[in-house]
Amino acid sequence: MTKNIKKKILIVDDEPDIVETLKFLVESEGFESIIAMDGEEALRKAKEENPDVMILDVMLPKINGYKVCRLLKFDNKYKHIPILMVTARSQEEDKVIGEETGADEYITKPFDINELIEKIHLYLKH
Amino acid sequence: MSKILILSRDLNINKDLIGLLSGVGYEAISVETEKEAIKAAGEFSPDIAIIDTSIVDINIVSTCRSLKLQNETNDIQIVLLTSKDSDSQEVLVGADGYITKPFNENILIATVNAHLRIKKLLDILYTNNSELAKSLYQLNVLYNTSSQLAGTLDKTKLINIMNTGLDKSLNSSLCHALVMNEPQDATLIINSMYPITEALEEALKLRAMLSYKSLFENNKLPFELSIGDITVEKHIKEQDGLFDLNILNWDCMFSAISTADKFFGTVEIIRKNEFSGEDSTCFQTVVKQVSLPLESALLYEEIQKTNIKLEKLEKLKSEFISIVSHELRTPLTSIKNSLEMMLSGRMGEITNIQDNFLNLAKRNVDRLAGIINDLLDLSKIEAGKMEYRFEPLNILEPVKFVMSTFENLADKKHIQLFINSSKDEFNIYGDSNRIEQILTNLVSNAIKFTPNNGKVAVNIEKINADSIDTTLFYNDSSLIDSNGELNFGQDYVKITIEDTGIGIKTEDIPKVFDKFQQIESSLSREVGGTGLGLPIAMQLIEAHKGKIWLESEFEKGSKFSFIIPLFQDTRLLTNHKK
Repeated sequence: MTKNIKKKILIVDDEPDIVETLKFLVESEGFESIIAMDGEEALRKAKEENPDVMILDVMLPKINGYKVCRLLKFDNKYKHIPILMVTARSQEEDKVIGEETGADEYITKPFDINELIEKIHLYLKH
Repeated sequence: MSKILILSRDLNINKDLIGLLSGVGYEAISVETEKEAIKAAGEFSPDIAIIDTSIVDINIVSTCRSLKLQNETNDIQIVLLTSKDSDSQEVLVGADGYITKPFNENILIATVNAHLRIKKLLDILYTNNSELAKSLYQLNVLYNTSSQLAGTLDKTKLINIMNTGLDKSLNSSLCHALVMNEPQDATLIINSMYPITEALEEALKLRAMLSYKSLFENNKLPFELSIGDITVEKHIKEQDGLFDLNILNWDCMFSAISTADKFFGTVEIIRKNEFSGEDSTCFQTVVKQVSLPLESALLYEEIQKTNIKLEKLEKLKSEFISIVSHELRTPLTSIKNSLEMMLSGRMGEITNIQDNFLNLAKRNVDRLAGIINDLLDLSKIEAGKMEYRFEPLNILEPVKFVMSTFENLADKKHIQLFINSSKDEFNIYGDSNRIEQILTNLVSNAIKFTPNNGKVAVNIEKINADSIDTTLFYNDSSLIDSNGELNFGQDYVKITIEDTGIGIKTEDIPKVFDKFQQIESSLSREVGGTGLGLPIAMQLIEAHKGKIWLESEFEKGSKFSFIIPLFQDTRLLTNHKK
């Protein structure tokens, strides 16, 4: 039964080009993609759609990625959603905050698509 | 003329004594009661009092005390005129001398003379003592003032300390300082005992202004100033009085506040009592003492201004870095991902030529990303903003990991990779990510500069500080630990990355750790790179209290070695592993 239902990946990024690439990538892997372009939308869609994995950029309009992550991870209803946090590599201090906010994975920009796909598969198995 | 007071009810004695003492040139008066005597002691201020103890209704002891208290110096000499048969012990207390009745005139005069000499000596002693006390007080104030002056770099505070110091040490009625701030801006700080009239305030402004101008006579003024530019700041000590123009007739001292090359203002103090030579020295000293810190304060102000500018620049720089890190990476991510997706075949089959060019594009995107990362790392290290997460770790782990990431690259060039380690564990206190970065930079260089079919070996061994040739070090040739002490006897792990590459000419060896340095420009085009890898590795190694150096033989190969202190505390290490 479950095999017929497409896994849902929520892609959160304010950069349309990145969203488009990720959307193509995710769909080419046979997943369903949901898009959010800012923090508010990300929170709303995460709650409405209950995605299987969430790819979350840090720099977002309205509510930043850390806050989105924290809000979800500290909510018993949504804390099971695996969150892959994406940020620029130089921001090492961000990495620490990222870990504190409870993100499952930390991916640096520019990321490798194969690595990203691997991570998605890893968290879908969990 | 010496003055003598006689207390006796015996009119004959009074008469005799006055006659006798006047006869030898003293001024003598006589009184009959204790009350009169005390009054006379205050008004007449005699040098000697002669008390006839035959007066039965007075207490000699308390009379003596009262008489002495009338005189501010407490040293009126009291001579008792006692009768031969006096048996009271009490009368012997409190007096300075005794004569028995009936008295011998010569003995009496001799006694009076002796006590006058004592009185004179006591007077001199008193004057000396009070002068000494005053000097000590001034010295103390000077000392306090100078230590306070040393404690601040605030211009207004400095002037206030000076004013307080002058006020305390010289007990002035009014002290006013004209302080120049900027051209056309001066403050007249007035410290006054009592409130001052408006007329006096105006007069002080004018006076300060004229004194200032007269200092420079015909020369150019350091600050152009008109009376309208002066603002007044008043500190009034007590309210129960008023100073008017007449205080300008009192004694005054004036001085410029300046150093050899800087002028800060003028100061004047006014006092009713005349100033002594010592007062003048004290005044000059205080004023001189304030000049130097004022100069420092001025410099400090300039430094602060510069600092604010620098802070702004620093902020701009880090903002710039953050923009670079975000704004450059974002488009790079899109390009890289698009290329990768085309290469992955998700968008349909691609021809060999397409594959070739897509790979070429991807390689250059990776290179660009690498350059950005290097630039950001170096700027962070130099700004002291690189964060390290130090923990005990076995350096062999990052070595093995890094070597494994280069297997593909080495295979392509048929380069053999070796790890030679004398032990399975070399524990250091380090940040594993940074250690990987150091090794990646060094090993990738080695592979880059080694022709096909060559060898790259990483050798790991323990070494003691005493057996390290520190003359090979770049920068400075010392092994210094965090306490600034030479690390004699410290054990290190030494990692050597040895290649069979093109090598580096001896004269070029010192340059390799400089930023943006590649020895042969033609080569850089061939092998790529920013020239930042080695400076970054060096900075990271030094952050681990280590050192790096290079030995190389041109056209034969290079040997980069670095050392990092071995982690001694095995107890911590075990705890960490748990």
